[in-house]
Amino acid sequence: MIYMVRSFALTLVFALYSQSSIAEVSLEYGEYLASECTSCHLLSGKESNIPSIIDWDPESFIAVLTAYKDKELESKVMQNIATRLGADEMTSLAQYFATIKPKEDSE
Amino acid sequence: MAKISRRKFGQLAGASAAVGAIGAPTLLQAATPKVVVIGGGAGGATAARYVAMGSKGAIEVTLIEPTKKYYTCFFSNLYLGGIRDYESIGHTYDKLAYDHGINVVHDWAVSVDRAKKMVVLSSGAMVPYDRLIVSPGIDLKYEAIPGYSIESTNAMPHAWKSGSQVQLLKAQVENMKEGGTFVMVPPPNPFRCPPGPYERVSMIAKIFKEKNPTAKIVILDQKEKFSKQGLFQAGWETHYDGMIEWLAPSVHGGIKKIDHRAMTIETDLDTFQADAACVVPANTSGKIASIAGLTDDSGWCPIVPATMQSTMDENIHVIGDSSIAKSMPKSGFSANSQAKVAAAAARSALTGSKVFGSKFANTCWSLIAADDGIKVGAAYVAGDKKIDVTSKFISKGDEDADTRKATYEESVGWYDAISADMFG
Repeated sequence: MIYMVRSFALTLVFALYSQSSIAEVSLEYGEYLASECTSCHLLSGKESNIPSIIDWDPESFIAVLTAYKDKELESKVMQNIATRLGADEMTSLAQYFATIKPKEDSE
Repeated sequence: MAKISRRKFGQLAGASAAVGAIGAPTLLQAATPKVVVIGGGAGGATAARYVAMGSKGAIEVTLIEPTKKYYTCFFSNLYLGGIRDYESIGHTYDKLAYDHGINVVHDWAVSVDRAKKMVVLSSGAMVPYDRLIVSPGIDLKYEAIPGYSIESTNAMPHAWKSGSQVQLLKAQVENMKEGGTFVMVPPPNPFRCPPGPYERVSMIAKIFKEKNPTAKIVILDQKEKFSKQGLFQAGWETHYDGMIEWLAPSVHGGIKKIDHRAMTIETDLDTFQADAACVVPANTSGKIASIAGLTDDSGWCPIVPATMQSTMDENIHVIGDSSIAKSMPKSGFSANSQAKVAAAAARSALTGSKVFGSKFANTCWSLIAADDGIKVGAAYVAGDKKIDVTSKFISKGDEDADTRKATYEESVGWYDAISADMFG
């Protein structure tokens, strides 16, 4: 976990100097970007072979995405997706998915 | 409700006439804008759902799809291989209607009156649209192979649009005579699901290994190389040693004639006698796309990458297999990804909603044997002329069994999620 936190901090520093993205951090932007995630991740919170990504603490969400981007976590699909996400995009996604709560009736 | 006096009415009418004179959009806003989607598959179901979800009632969405239950092409090979049951790949439109308020019309779209912006159904009904999203999948060019026709598809199914054709093929595979020969004829490029024919062969080999181990499979390909070729061929050697023979056109000289009664496939090299066969002719765009005048000389539909709009008509988007979405492969995942770009563009045009750029993604998982999964994928961005690759990956040849199993398990998770993303 330490390396994750460290790379999270590095990303923030990096973001200040180098990131430019299409839109500002917002829930609306997060919702838009999230449509790429829902091709593989269920929004219901139901457990499957692909982890649920709703209702996470935003800092952990960004740390994990950053670890994929830095190729510190394995998964070719996730590395491929994360590599083109900037800090604003990760933050928007993290904030948006944090607002999605598991469905009461999920199995 | 307060009564409106004649004098008051006159004032209101005058006011609206005045507004009308300065800006027609004010008057247009009175009617709820309409999006009509043709085709309820991977692309169309996703597009309808995303327009409805994003617009929250500000756009009226109609989905035109003849079948009441849609069986996905993706994972139909796993049904063939005995890994999934048939019903697990079937999806209804209940949730699109009930949860998202989409008007699902079970009928065929037979033409599009682009001047009047109307879709004509086989019942004769006309469906008006402000934006039309066309996602009809593929049609098959039976006549491209001499002797092959729709009549041949009983004895030699194509099974390339899922559904009952796959059930027919499964029965023929399972009942093939002991030690018999199965012939697979994959289509030429471009076609739906580039790794599909080779995953299909893998799943048929799996059935033979279990039930008919002396059976042989001959692949008479219509192209010189294929998707994930090295991975598939290595897997065939590992799991089905000596069972599968792949012949390129440079070896067999091309498919000259097919006779479904005699079950023969004639090439320059030899006339192959099949005990069971799967013949997939060249693919083309779904018929309605050409009827609507959305195809070019290639038979496929050129699009504007950033919005998936047809280059023939700005009020129409074409997504999925029918579109020329180079560099993306024709896959369910690609169609799902393109649908979101088209839905955002259509919403923005009709309600002014924000668009944040056009990104696409695709991953194709294939199964070589139980728990031996491989994958290829890429991320894309809209360029001026085509959809450009930004990064890509492919499974490695030297992966261990655990990695391959994890890849297969990932594909099962993907199936659940993308089905929910399409059908709710």
